[in-house]
Parts: sequence; structure tokens; C-alpha cells
Amino acid sequence: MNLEKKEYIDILNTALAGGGDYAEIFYEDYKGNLLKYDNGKFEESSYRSRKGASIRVVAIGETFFGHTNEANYENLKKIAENLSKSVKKRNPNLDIFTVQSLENQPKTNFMPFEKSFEDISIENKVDTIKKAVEYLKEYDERIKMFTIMYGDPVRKVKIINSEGKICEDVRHYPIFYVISIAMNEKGELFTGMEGNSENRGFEFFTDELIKETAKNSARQAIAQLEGEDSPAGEFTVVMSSEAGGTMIHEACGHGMEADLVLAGSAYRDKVDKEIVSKKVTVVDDGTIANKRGTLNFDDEGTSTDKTILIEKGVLKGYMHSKLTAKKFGVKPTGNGRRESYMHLPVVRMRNTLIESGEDNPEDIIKSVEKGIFVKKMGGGQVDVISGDFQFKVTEGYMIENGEITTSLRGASLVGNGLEVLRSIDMVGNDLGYAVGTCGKDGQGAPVSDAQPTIRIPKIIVGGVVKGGSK
Amino acid sequence: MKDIIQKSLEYIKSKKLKGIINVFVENEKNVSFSLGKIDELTEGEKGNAGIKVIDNEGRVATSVTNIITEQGLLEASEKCCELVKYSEPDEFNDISNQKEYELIDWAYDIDTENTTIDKIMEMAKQLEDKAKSLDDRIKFVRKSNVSSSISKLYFANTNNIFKKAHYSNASAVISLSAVEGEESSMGFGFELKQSIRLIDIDLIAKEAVDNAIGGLKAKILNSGRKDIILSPFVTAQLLSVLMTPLSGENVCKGKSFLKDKIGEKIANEKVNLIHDPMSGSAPIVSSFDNEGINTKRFSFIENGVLKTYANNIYSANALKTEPTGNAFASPTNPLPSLGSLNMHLVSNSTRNRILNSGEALYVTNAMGLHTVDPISGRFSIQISGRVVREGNLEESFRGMTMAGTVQEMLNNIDLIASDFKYIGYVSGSTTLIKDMSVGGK
Repeated sequence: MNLEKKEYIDILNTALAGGGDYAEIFYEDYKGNLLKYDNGKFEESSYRSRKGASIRVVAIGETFFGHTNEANYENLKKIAENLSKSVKKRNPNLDIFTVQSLENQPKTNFMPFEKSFEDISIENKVDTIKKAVEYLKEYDERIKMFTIMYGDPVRKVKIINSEGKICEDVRHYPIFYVISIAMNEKGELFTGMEGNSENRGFEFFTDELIKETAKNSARQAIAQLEGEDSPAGEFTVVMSSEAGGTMIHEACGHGMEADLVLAGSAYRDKVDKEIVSKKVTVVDDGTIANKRGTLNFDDEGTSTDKTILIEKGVLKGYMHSKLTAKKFGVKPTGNGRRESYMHLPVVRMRNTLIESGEDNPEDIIKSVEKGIFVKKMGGGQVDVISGDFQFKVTEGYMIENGEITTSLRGASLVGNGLEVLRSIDMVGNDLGYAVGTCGKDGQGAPVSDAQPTIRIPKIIVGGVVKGGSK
Repeated sequence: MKDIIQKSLEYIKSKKLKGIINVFVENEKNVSFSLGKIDELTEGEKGNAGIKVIDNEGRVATSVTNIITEQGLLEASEKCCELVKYSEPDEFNDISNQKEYELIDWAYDIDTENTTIDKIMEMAKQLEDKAKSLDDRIKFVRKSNVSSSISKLYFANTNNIFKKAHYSNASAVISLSAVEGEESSMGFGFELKQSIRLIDIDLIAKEAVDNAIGGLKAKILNSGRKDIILSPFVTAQLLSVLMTPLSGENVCKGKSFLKDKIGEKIANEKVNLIHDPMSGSAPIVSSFDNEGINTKRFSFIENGVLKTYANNIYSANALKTEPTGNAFASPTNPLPSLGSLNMHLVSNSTRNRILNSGEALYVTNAMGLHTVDPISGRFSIQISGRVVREGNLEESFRGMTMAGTVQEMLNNIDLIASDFKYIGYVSGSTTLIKDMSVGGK
């Protein structure tokens, strides 16, 4: 979408003709390949594209929205006219302001890239999968099947708003996923899954990355195969930095998104209060070079930054979009994100992490007489208001007398985010990342999260209670 | 639309390839309220097309585009044709040759199409007001949403098959929080219907408020083996997990614990699991799937015995059987994949009888159902709800786990009520499952 500045101004002023505090045009051009190896062969090659634009008008805290997949002047002007009519109908006597000029915003570059996906042949993309196939065939004969996925979506966005800003951003999301399935002599199946992604070009797909992803996936499957059913009940849990920050993202991060604070989350009315262990500092950082959640601008045109949420146990603030920042009387933090031009921006995390502490990870394990060591976490779910959560443990082991022993299958962790942060009593001096696509309000957003090795003195582990008596 | 699609299919044919195209066009009206203010008001049209091509050795490529114009579809078709050589041959890939189909005209409701955005706004506001009026402890309404959509689906392939369908849907959903002292608890209520006239605002508000209030003052109980009663919503969620092992494609690939189990007992003999794509009471119906195969009602499980898998053209060819018409696509994912429409358990009891069947945990919310391993069937999920004694819902529990395997759960299903609730493509009713492993203190 390359309209003249005067055309953008005309569209914005048309959208604001019925009154309103803010208007913006959001344009998106998304495209990418997806290649899949499954069932012992290259099963499918796919191409996905999406293009379109939307207009949002905010009037005294209420939001009016329209979109089109043909982002030309005429269509956008028509949407703007309809929106201004809706605003006027709902609020007939609003003041009207007009946009006078637009300025292109200076570009930062937190996601430098060397090789554009468009310049890489499909043959070279296929080669990444072939390398993983070769590695997995040699790993362990009990690995009977594997699925490998290569993806390279690129999302170009342009935001033109009534604050007079034009912001452009290009996000590259290379994805490499491996699912391994191991089979034991009884024919029982065990699954391991590992995925990696960043915000950078084709140089992401290094031989080392491919090998590590394949190895971690296969190792998880074999650990489950060789493991025993997880016990159920309360245990001391050591979460390895290798588990990434899924717990901090899901069980704690969501509760500090300002829209959920307004909806009654457990973090409401607690700014400047000591709410968790002094050993815990939590940040959401959109500027870490090339991480999956990194952005130059969010999807409202706000520059990203490092947002301190909890500092040494004290809640310092929340993550904000433009809308929530206005409600709280603070500055937006660059957390307004949307899945596509058809969605409204909502408050979303970027790269969320617990900062490293001072304990040696090995000492943390040695400190546990009987407990569970969580090496890799799978997916989970959270009640974003209370912070209650459930996470699957995809690779876990018993800790007995300070030593890691038997591998476990079928374990999960269940608890409450705020209570877990209160109870953490050891924080390692390491840091490990995990990546994902966070789901909220029916929208997906690329994110990463991280944590050091931590010790949780007491948490419920979901496993099997043996026997048939109730 | 037929002409536009036809031009892309002609292009695919000119490359000596077979092809199928699904085009979805949706008109949506959507209003959300939060704390008395409009959170979102959207009115507009969107579309999505999924294209799949197959060469003469069975190589496959796909593409998706939201540009539903002659040019947009042609460009997506060209991409598909360029990519197909990178896949490997597979003799089982093919396209449908079923020309006849039943045009469903009763799944479209003109009242829903004619409902104004003002009326939808009014309903969303009513839903929020109603929920807040039910209990003083409801302090926050995150979103009270009502939406309607009119969808048109066009299917065509290079065998000159063209099928179309016209649907209406309406939904209402509310999420809110109850607060008592330092404690807060989220509640959720929703309905999805074919017509906006069938949306019951009062019922949805009550469901959400009951869930939120029920979560206050909840405790963690002791671990043990317990009888479990699943609410209709949770039953539907658990049933949706079954679709992966029932997929003929996963069976072909050896990724299902149900492989080689046709004709074998895989569940309690009280279990009858039905796929019912033309059910008149369901919010979503279809007379053909998105490979162009006509749908039909059938049993996956009959008296505990596995009768069939869900087969698309690929898995039917690989398993030397007939496709069952279960390859479904959607406006958000317009490429067909195996699924079910209106899958549900046949009832053998009533909700009242189930609640009076002894002490049990009544589960109203389950978290982590998507983490159930569909390949092995193992699961370990979080459950919350109320303890049931003598038919009474007593103290609340939360933060506990239920673990085991899907196979164990199927064997332990005992009673199934008829209070069905649809969550999209699956329907659930109150269900008693005996003797499951529950983790707590």
C-alpha cells in the first residue's frame, strides 16, 4: 500500500469526521513457504499469503473497526466514511480534530537480517529438512517416525495514525520444528517435540540449529519411552533453564497485561507493592536482538522497549497498548500487537523473562532430597485472571538425594503463578529461552520467554495414582 | 464466483495437474462490550481460499490466499503449480468424482442476515448487564460479545465438480471475574447457534456467573482415584481430542493408538460415538466435505467397538476403503484436514441420575486438554469444579490434576446424559467416568 501522504491524511480525517480521539490505518503484507516432511517423505509444499488493511477509530474509549483485503484509496475511504457514521450515531456531539501532516518515523533495527527468504531457492530450503532427516535416522533405532516442518513467513506492516506518524516494520519468522515418535517393544508410542524460531533471515537455519532441534526432539521421546509413570501429588520442583520461560509467560505474564488487569487479574492494585520473592525480577523486552518476540514498532506504531514488570519482588507496572495506557494515565509500552490486519491490537507480551540470579544450577539440584527436575516444558493453559495454570512436562526426571535419576512420563505441573513466584527460593545464574505463538482473544502472536534454573519448594505434579481403590 | 474459480482450475489443468479449490466468503457483524463501553464494533466481509494441486505421480502442493479475485486465485494457483515438484510421489493422493450433492438451504437464516448492527450491540450490552445483575461479586466483565456471520462456501475441482453452501451462524460469549476479598475467579459462558433468534442471553450470563462464583473459595483436595462427572462443555472438549487418533491419515502413518483396532472393543460397551454432519439441531452442518465427498451419519464406536476411522480420499485409498466425507476446511484454514461434524456420545441416562450416582468430582473446567498426547493417548490435565454428594453440588475444588490415558477414560465411561452443548464441531453432555486418577495434596 503506497498511497500519497495527502491520501492517508484524507482517509484519517474522514474516519475522524464523526469525532474521535484517535484513528489509524494498519496495512499488512504476509507471505511465506511451509515445507513438511512426514510419513517418510516430503509430503507437502505450501505457500501462504495474506494482504489487506484496516482502519480503527477510538472515540471516548470505544473502538470502531473495519477492514478490506483490497487496500486502495477508494476502499479505505469508504470504510472511513462508515466508521465515522457509526461513531457519530453512537456519540453525536463529539469534538472533531483533523490530522495536518504525517512524518515517517526513524527506523531502529533490533532484527537485522542477512538473507531474505525470497532470495533463497526452494531446493536450499528443502536441504534444511534433509539434514534433520539424516541426523534422526542415525540417532536411535527406537525412533520410528518423525515429522519435520520448515516455515519462513515474512510480515511487512505499515501504520499511519492520527498522531502524524508513519511507521514501517518487517518481521521475519523462520520456524523449524521436529516431532519424533519412539516405539517400545510393546508397540507403545512416545512423542518428543522441539521447535525453534527467531526474528531474522535465512541465516537462522544453521547446521547446529537443525541438529540441536532434531536431537532435543528425539531425546525427549526416548526419555519418555525409558521412563516411568510420573507420581502425583505435592513435590519440590527444579525447573531447568532449558525449560524456557513458559511458566513465567503463561502463569504470570498474562496477569500483568493491562487489559487483563482491568478485567480483574490477581496483579490489580498492587503496583509498588512487594508481591513475590525478592529473588525475582521479571521483564518484558521487545528489543533483544533477533528474538522471536522482538519488534521495532508494535502494531500501533509505538517503539518497543524493555518493560520492567517486577523488580526484586516489587510490582513496578504493567504492559500497555495505547488504549490501556490512556486508561491508566501512563505511556504505552509497545505491547499493542495483532495477528493480522483483520484483528484489533490487544496487549501482548514480546520476550518475557525472569532475570538470572546468583545460585549455581548444580547446587539447586543438589539441594533437593526428593523432587522433580523439569528439563523441558510442553504447552499449557492458564486462567489469566487467577493465574491458575497447567503445563505439560515433556521431559522430566526424579531427583533423589540431590541426584537426577529416573525419567518420567505423563507429568504435568499445576499451580498458581503468583504463588509460585512468591515461593521461589533459589534462582540460577543461567538463562534459557523457549519460543512459541501465544494465543489470546483468538489471536496468535510470536513470542519468546526465558528463565534461569529455579527451585519451587512445593507445587502439585499431575501424574498417575496407582491402584483401583477410591 | 464459479467463473473466477473455473479460470484457476483451467490454469491448473493446463499444467497437466489435478486441483481442488475451496473459497469461503464471510460477512460478519461483531460487537463487544466491556464495562459499559464498546470494546469493538466491526462490520465487514472477509474471504479465504485454499488451493491444492496433485501431479500425475501424486505429488501435492497447497496455497492459501485471502485475495478472492480472478487475479488473486490465479497467482495462488501459479504458486501451487510451481511448488508441486518439490514434494515426493504418493499414489494415494487423488480428487473426488462425486458430482451429485444435496444443496442445504435450511442452514441459512435470513433473520440472522437481516439483524442490524444496532440490534447486535443491544444484545451484547444486555449480556453484560444481565451478568452483572446476577451477583454482586461479579466485579469485572472482560468481554461481552455477540456476533453474526453469513458464510458462503464454494468447492470445485478439475473433474468439473462444483458444489456450494450457504450458512448463517450467531454466537454470544462473555468472560468475567468474580472477586471476594483477595480472591478472584474467572467465568466463561457461550452459545453458538444457526440463528440469532436461538441465542439465550440469560442462560449464557448464568453459566458464566455460576462458573466464576463456583471458583471462589475453592480448595485442593487429596490425591486418589475418584469418580468424575464432566460438564457438557468439558465432555465436548475431551471428545474433540479423539479426532486425532480416529483420523485415517494418522492411522496410515502409524500415529494412532487405534491402528489395527477396527472391530475391537476400545471402550465401555455403553459407549456409542456418532458423527452426525446433517443434524438439524447443530450450529454447523454440511452435505459435502471440502474434498467434495458427500457426508453421511455413521458410528465411530458402536457398543464399545471401533467401527471405522474418519477417512479422506488419501487415507481411504491407503487403507483400501471408501472416503467417509470427513475432510473439512474452515474460513480461517481453507485447506481440508480430517475432522468431524457434530460428533457426540449417544445418551443412556439423565443429568439428574448422574448427579445422584454417589460421591464424585463434578468438573466444570479443564485446562490443558490440548496437551493430551493424541498419539499415545496419555494426558495429565488440570481440573476444577465442585464435589457432588447425593445430587448436591457442595464445596469447590481447583488446581487439581486428572491423569491417565484416553483408552482408560473410554473404558471407564459409565453414564451419558442428553443435555448436549455444542462447541463448534463437537457436542458434549454430562458424562460420568468412573475411577480416574486425581492428583492433589
